[in-house]
Amino acid sequence: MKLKTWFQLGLGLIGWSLLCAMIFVVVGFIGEGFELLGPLSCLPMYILFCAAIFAVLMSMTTYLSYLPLYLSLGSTRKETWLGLHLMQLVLAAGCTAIAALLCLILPGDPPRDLISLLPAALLAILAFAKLGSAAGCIALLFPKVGRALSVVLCMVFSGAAGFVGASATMSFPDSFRLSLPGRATLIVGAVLAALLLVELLFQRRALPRYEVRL
Amino acid sequence: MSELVCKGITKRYKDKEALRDVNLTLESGKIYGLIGRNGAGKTTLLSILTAQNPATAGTVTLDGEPVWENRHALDQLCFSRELNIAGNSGVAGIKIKEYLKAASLYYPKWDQNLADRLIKAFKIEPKKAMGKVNKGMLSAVTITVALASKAAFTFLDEPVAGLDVIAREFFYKTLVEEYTETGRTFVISTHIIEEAAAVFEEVIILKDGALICMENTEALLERAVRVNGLAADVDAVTAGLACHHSEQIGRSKTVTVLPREGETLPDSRDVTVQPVSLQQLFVALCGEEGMG
Repeated sequence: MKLKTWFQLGLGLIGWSLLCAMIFVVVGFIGEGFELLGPLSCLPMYILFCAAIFAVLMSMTTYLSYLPLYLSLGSTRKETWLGLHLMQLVLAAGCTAIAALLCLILPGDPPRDLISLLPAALLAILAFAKLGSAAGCIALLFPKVGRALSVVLCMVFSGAAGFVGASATMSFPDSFRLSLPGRATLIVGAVLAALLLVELLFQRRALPRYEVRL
Repeated sequence: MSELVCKGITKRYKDKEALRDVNLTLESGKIYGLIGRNGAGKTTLLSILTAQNPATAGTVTLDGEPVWENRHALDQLCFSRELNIAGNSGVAGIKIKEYLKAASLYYPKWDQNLADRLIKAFKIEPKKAMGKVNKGMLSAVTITVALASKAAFTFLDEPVAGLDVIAREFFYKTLVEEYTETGRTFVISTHIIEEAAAVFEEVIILKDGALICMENTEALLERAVRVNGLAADVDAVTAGLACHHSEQIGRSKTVTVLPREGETLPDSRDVTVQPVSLQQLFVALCGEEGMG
């Protein structure tokens, strides 16, 4: 099994997620009149959000770039399949672990509140990754639909980025906050399972017959 | 001695049969030339031989083991594809150094020293994205991956496309050096036949998806001749022989003949018999009336 390249891709994505999260902090720092504590306390959440963005976009583009590339270099289809899942897992687990560590270190309410939501966040990143994979598979099978889908996903995530930036410091009622972790984990877990099923169905159809073209 | 064997390979697309019942055996320690017109099925064949694309029917085995999804077999194969990267290709944004790095991780016998030497010699710019460099540099990257992979069976698809004559000379020289030192097997698909003919130990000719010839280059060229003279004399001398590509100007006629095993050209003082080059033979075998 040759999965090193996929592992490295996952590590690279963690790096990009951290970098983008830092950009959110810097924007917040400037937006809040050069007050650092507020934006910094949101850093774990920004990391998780950026990981979700990279999970969906990278999983989708993997089908169009890394899949043909690695197959052309002698990878098996099984390796690319496993490698893709490994990359997604490394990204999700790595970013969640870093976010957890930061939640313990950083002061303020947002990090403390986020700790109980981390399992759900991990599942959510994986769910976004599966969404990207499903979109990538669709792009392989139906290129025009895939292109349209990638535009839609980019628009959705651009909007989401703005929302996260604006709502990071919003406070929610205690009753909502306390009941959220359990519900969120269940809901996100169910969504992940459904998306995983969709991804596997598409992969089963697309991968064996995939024709390498560079 | 390793053998890569393909049996009954057929590849069908929706409305086209790209390969038709291709059977061939590639032995280790040889340089094969794969030639055919555009669309003859060369790239499709190489893709199937290296398990990059699935065949509709038939099997490919390396020393008896199927190559499809077989890590052990794939470790001994390298198909350095021709990189035709359009602006919207998914690979266009990937940097050359990233491509070479991935290659170094996938090929177990990767020779980084050789790769560095070729990068320097071809003046490859590793920091550039694949979609941002010219055709010549993409060919140089293809060659670098193929040679540095050190794979026992190495396949190159149009390796010299876009390279200038000096770079092409360097490629052939390096290829022969590598072949002499290691005894690796190379299969080179090319349209620049005249230039590459000297390095081909065996030649494989594909026409419309079918294998029409696989033979030792020297033996093939010894058999093939061009017969020229008055049409009636040429017809008399070549009667019953496998004739290809006849040209007639006035009463004069030229025919390329490739006698089958056991057949010989009868002696005649009325016609001129000349040897043919591989390119002339290829044109005779694969050219179509009106284009030859």
